[in-house]
Amino acid sequence: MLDPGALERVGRLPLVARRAKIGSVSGRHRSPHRGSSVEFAEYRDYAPGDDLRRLDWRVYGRSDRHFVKEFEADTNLRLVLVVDGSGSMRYSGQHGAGPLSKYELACRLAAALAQLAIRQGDAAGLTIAAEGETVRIPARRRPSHLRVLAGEMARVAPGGPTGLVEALHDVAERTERRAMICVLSDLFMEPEGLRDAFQHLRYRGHETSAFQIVDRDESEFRFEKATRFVDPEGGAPVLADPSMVAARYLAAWRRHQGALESLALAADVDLREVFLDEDLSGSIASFLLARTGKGGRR
Amino acid sequence: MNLLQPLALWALPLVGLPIAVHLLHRRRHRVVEWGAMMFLLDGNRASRGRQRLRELLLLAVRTLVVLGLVLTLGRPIAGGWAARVAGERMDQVVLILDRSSSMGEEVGGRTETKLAFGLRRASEALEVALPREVVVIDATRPTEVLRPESVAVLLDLGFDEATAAGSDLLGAFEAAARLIEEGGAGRTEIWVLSDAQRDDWDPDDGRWESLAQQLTRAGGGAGVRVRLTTFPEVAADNLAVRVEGVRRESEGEAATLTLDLIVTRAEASGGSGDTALRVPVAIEVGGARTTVEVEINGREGRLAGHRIAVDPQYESGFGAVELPADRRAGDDRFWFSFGRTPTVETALFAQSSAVGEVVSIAAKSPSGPDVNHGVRELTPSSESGLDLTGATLLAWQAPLPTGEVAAEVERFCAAGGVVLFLPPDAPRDRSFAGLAWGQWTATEEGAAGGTVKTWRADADLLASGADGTPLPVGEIALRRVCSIRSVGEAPIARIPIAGLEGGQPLMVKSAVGRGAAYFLGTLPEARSSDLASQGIVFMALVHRALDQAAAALGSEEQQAAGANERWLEDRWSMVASDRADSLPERGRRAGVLTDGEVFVALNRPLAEDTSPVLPVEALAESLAPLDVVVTTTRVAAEGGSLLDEVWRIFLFLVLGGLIAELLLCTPEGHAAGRKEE
Repeated sequence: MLDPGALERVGRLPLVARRAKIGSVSGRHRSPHRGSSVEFAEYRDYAPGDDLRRLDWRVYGRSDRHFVKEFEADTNLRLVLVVDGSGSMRYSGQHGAGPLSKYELACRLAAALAQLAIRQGDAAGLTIAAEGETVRIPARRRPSHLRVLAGEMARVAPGGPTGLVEALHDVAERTERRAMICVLSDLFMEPEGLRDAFQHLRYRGHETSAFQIVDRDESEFRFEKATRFVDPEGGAPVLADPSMVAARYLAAWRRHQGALESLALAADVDLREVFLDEDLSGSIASFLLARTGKGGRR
Repeated sequence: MNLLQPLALWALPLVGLPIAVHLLHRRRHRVVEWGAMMFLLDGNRASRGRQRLRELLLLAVRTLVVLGLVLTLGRPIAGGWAARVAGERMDQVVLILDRSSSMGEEVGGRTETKLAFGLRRASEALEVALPREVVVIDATRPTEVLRPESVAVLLDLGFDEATAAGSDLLGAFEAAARLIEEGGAGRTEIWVLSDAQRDDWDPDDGRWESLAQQLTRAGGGAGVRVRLTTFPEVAADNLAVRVEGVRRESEGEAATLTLDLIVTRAEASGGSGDTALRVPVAIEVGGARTTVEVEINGREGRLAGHRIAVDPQYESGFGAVELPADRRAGDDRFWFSFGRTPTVETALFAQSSAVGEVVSIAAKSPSGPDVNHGVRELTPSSESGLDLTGATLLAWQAPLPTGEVAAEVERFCAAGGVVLFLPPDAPRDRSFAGLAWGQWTATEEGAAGGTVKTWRADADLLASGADGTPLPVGEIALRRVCSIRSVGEAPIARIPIAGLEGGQPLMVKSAVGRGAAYFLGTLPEARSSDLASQGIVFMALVHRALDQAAAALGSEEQQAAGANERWLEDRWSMVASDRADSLPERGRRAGVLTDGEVFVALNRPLAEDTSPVLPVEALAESLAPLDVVVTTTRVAAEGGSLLDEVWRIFLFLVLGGLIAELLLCTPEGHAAGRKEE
């Protein structure tokens, strides 16, 4: 699930919030609160670069090992990853031979973002909108939390109709502090519902990014022969001759993309298209660069 | 529509192939789990109807293409049930068969003759075309029309055997035109099987033009279509034998037969050309058979004066000469007969007894040892007409004949007889063959007007002798001359034979049929000229006229086979023939007939051996403005049909279907999509 190579390629780009976040400790992210109380969270191994002031000397004295004391209020960024676990995310290319399905790519992206956040001391949480359940993992900044997130993502099998809009409303309600919300989905749903959800998140003060994960088959409709298209979300199958339906399909696709872009603009959502055949590190780097104000492709 | 190759229908189940492929194809769709259904549903909803229609159209087109291919292989022809459904069924087919001797030639390495092959193909075609009525006209006897009960019996009527006679295609067409006129409106076709020999068709006859117009009228709106099947192939190196002369001579106790033979070689490409060839010719007389060799150099070889001893007690008899069998059986044998010395008869009708006497003397004087010359005086009456039976020359010194008598004289001329008209004492305003007598004028003896100034010395009755010695025509003294007038317009050929000073004609020839009418403007009696006292010119003139007529009329014993009612009389019976005697065909079969007194040998006409083949265009031209379809059939090839093959139409339909399929298969959606982008 975790892709060390991707993070390696991203280098040391920080995950930066574009707006002020509600946090207790001064750090990398701006916080509206100052001098909040400190709540012990856990010990962790000292890593080079850690502030020596945080080293727990008493533990060092007892065990001759370097531990750094971690406090809950140090989390000054909450990254909430919302992964779409609907049936449409199972698609992995025309011949089913692609290295990853859209869901797997979404998970890898989510894991990479979570790892980035946790590595720089931020907390990462996860919500998976899956068939019949919504998995919710609260945001933590413990490195071991990554395993929890990865385990949950691996456990859930995508399928059924999408519940992303409901999941987003739920995240908006449940996340009390302002957070950074990353939506990972193909966004194959009615734009109206999505608009409401994004507006809701914005209203609650969250900063939302959306990674639209699609395959080029879907964006270009690259089929030659008559094909029976089976709806993974339970709809009626469609037998279609691509030569007959391609034009209308592509027109509908462009309309949908246009609608998504306009609603993203209205709700201040950073909307990005990620293709299955793209290099993951490139997508992450572009995302991170855009946040540091150094540019980056949208 | 019917098929010439109905076996192709076995391939008809292949029509099910596109349907099977279509059904299989429906089951063999790739299945893809597809998330972006919301866009697909949008596109598919609109195109579902169109897609279904296109699928059905494709299925129909593919099925029709296979069906079209199967039918094309079956070589479909117009006619039959399809024509009946469309109301275009043929009402009548008039089948004209050229059963002349030359149609009995085997061609193309098979034992079938041109006639048998053509008839078989015509019969097959008729079974397919199914006309309401089939009428057969035998061009060797066009007066008789046969209506077979069904097409199936067509081959059992003996029409597949060629006769020895020549064909009269013009007569057959005229008979067909009469039939069509009597039959009323309806779709009629005339099918002709012929090898297009010039003499059988006689394309220069002026009646063709009026015939074509008559047929066009007779066909009404439907028109008459002529389907002409010709057989242009001529057997290479075909040999033909012919007896040109037979004379029986007796010397004391012994009798000999002298034969003049000619063997001719066909002119055909691929033959051995002009290489010399020795051919054995068998001669059979009275049961005895001898063989002689005839050498052919170039295109013919002659055997002149070949003598055979015959039993002296038989004064008449018959025999045959025969060549080894070749591709054309009809010209490998030639029958001949011989009898007592023949009599050449002159029919005489003269007002003046002096003239009659001179003519009689000239006509009776013998010209050779084997010819008897006879003179018969006539008394023509307007009621009973004129009896010219057996006559060779008619000498007529009286006002020109009219009415029935004139018609009889014309018939006599047409058959080859010659008439010598001498001026009557008082010429009347009558004409014959475009010529009429004018007035008598006296000439001054010794003056320029009293002698013949010009005459044809190269040919005809006043020609110079074989050694070039001219007849002393210029020495004739004329005392009075009756002028000769031309009446009416050409095309009657009027040839001046002799003329006086100033161009006044003295003797004029008018060709009538195979014979001629000569007008001589003076009389062989002392009051008019010294023709009688000089003698030589007048006698030469009369004898040449007799020879000319005898050659044209033919000898009584050797005749060309043909439809002649005479041979159907009871007194005649066939004593020798290539085939069994059959009354309807008697006279048209080669063989020997006898009435108990005379033997008559019937053989193919000379033209059957020598007549050239007409090009197809010439035949079509004769029949313009009719709709003529010419099928040139090679007997060797089974291909070609007498019917309208419509496979080309099917082939075009198949091609059209393939183009339609291509258009239906073009991914228009993609193209449109790209354009939008």
